[in-house]
Amino acid sequence: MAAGLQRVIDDAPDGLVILDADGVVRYANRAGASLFRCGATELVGAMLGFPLAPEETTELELPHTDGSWRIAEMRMAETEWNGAPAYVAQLRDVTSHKALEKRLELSDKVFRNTQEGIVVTDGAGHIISVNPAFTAVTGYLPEEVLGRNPKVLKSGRHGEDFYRALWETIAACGQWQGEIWNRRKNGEIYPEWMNISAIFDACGSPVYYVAVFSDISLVKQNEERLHRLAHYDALTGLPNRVLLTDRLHQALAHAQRNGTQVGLLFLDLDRFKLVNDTLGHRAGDQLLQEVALRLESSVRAEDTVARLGGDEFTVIVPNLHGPAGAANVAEKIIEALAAPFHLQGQDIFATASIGIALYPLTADSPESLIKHADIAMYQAKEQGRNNYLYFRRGHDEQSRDLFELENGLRHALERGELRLVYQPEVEIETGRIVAVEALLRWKHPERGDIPPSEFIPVAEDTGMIGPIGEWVLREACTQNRDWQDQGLPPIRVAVNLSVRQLRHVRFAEKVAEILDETGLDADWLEVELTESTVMLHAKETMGILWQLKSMGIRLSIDDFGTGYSALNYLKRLPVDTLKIDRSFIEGLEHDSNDQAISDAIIALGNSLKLRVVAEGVETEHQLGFLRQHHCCDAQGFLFSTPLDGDALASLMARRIH
Amino acid sequence: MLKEAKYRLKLYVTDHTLRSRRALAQLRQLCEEQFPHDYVLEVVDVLEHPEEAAAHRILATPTVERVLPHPIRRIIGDLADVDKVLAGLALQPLGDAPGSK
Repeated sequence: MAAGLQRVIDDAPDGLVILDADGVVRYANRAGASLFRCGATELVGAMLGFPLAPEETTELELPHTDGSWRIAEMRMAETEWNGAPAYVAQLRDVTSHKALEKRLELSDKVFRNTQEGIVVTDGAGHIISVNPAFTAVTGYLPEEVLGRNPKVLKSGRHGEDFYRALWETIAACGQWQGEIWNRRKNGEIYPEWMNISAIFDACGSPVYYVAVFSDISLVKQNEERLHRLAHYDALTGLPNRVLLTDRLHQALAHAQRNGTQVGLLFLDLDRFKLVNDTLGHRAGDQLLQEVALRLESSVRAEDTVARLGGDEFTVIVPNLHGPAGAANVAEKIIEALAAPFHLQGQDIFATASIGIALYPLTADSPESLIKHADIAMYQAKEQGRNNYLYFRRGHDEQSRDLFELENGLRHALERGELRLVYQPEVEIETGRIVAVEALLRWKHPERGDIPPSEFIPVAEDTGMIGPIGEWVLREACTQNRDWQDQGLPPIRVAVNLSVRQLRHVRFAEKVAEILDETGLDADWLEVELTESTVMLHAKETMGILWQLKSMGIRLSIDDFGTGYSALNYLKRLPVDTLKIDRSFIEGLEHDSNDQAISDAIIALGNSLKLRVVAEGVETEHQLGFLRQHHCCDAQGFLFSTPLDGDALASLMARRIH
Repeated sequence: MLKEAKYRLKLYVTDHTLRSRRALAQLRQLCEEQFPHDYVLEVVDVLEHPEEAAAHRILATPTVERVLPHPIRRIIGDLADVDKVLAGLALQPLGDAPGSK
């Protein structure tokens, strides 16, 4: 019986420790001994301590050497051991229970204190728990939503499809997260970032759904605020330079796709500084705000008014079919600003100067649009303020219609408005025509003949010189070959080149192609470059000129004597002909200086074994001088005006017979 | 020369848990009341000083050890009841001290 009892006590699941009156361990069962870091044999005889426990239980920590410890719940009772008073302490290991409790406590704390709203529903979607943050965000108290479906929060902003997709995702992945708009108790709708997780039972069916969400309306507001700050001017609320550039890119891309034009107005208030200086910055700011309002009300809905800073504004005028649309807007703006502004009890008159640039006519990028419109604005200011002006290349008074010119030139080729005329170069000794210079003519449908001096620079500036120059070469070669085919004595045709053409990497190839196409021998083609062009761009043109030379083409230097005669270069270039500038020939009759220069050029040419041609020869007297000084050839009205191909053919035919 | 304190107690605790702090507060209050100016109270965190706990063969916390006066006595468990603590440590309560009668 005693042995049996001993066995039971030994095997009891709770620890039992007998302590004597001094707190020394007299007996410990197996469960009891296992709680302590020393084994049972060492435990007996060790001084644990006199156990103190109130009515209920108390907790003891039983540290282990590895830093961990176990927690035991202790109860005690008085007893006797070997006839002496003793205590029996019952120790129950509650370590794991405590840990669980701690975890639950933590979970509860998190649940209650997190800033994120939490809703737990059962598998059927009834709300079984919400946290305080849920109430803070939605305005619903727990008792108002427990047992109900979270549908009560629906904002109505999402269609059925949205929710179907959401539940399909949860069914498939057990989880969904995204932005969702819900409605607060007060009716306000707001965006949430929500994460919904399904919790499954052992059989795999969902038993709970947990939705964790945060109200992101502030985030959204901040995002919008940031976007506003980055893209809009704080004072006027207008788009700033960043947004302007962005919109310009869009407008240009759109225009390119649709073949339309984009106008950019650059506007600067006249004498704005005066307002600032006399009425103060606050008045200045107020004026800028008022101006912004008037600008916005005087443009079309699709136009963008932006403030670049200071008193500078811009307006993008997209979808134009001609330059006039931009001018219309400029006029409307000037009109809108005409009425006085009432600032601090005073009537202030604010006018503006506006510069206009157009894509693709006078600018080809957002940057150049802004730059060119800015330049035009300054010109408008110079011309007396309170007006608008288109951007033009150059400052020349005569180029007033440059813009229309440019526009017209774009179509001149395809409309067949360009033609070539040929002015003979005559050998002074014999009167024989040895060459002709091909000269470009443009007959504008409205404005009639436009001098090359007017449209060639435009063609050079806009890059149209490329296709036009190619056309000239082909036309001249075709014509020369045609004359030869007519049985006329072969002559050279001289074609003027622009440095822009020479810069084209494949220019020599192009020329070869044209010669091949037209069947003209390279010997009968001469290219003319002005002296200033050759000297200014000597380094970059040298290579291509030698390439042309190697093909058999001749090189002529035009307007010789006016430029930067660097004999060094002249010797190194494959030059065949020097053409004395007409200004010297003009002065031959009375200007000894011009005579000296002409003489020197002729002498130079002769010594270098170059052909020298005098340009602009109009009188017998001039011709006499040239002959006397052994000038080889001459060109000018004295011999012939520039003629069209047929007229020249007749002229040559007459001279043969 | 400073007179050596008559009472010297050591409190062994595990970590600075709420229960440890409470035990310390209770014990300090008890000492202040019972042996004013005549005690030393030491606190040993057995996790910070495992060697000391091992040397003294401390098996559980909280343990209060009476170092002085001799002989050493220990109690373990709940320190809330002053009478039980004093009885457990075989210290006489102030009221029953010799000479008070």
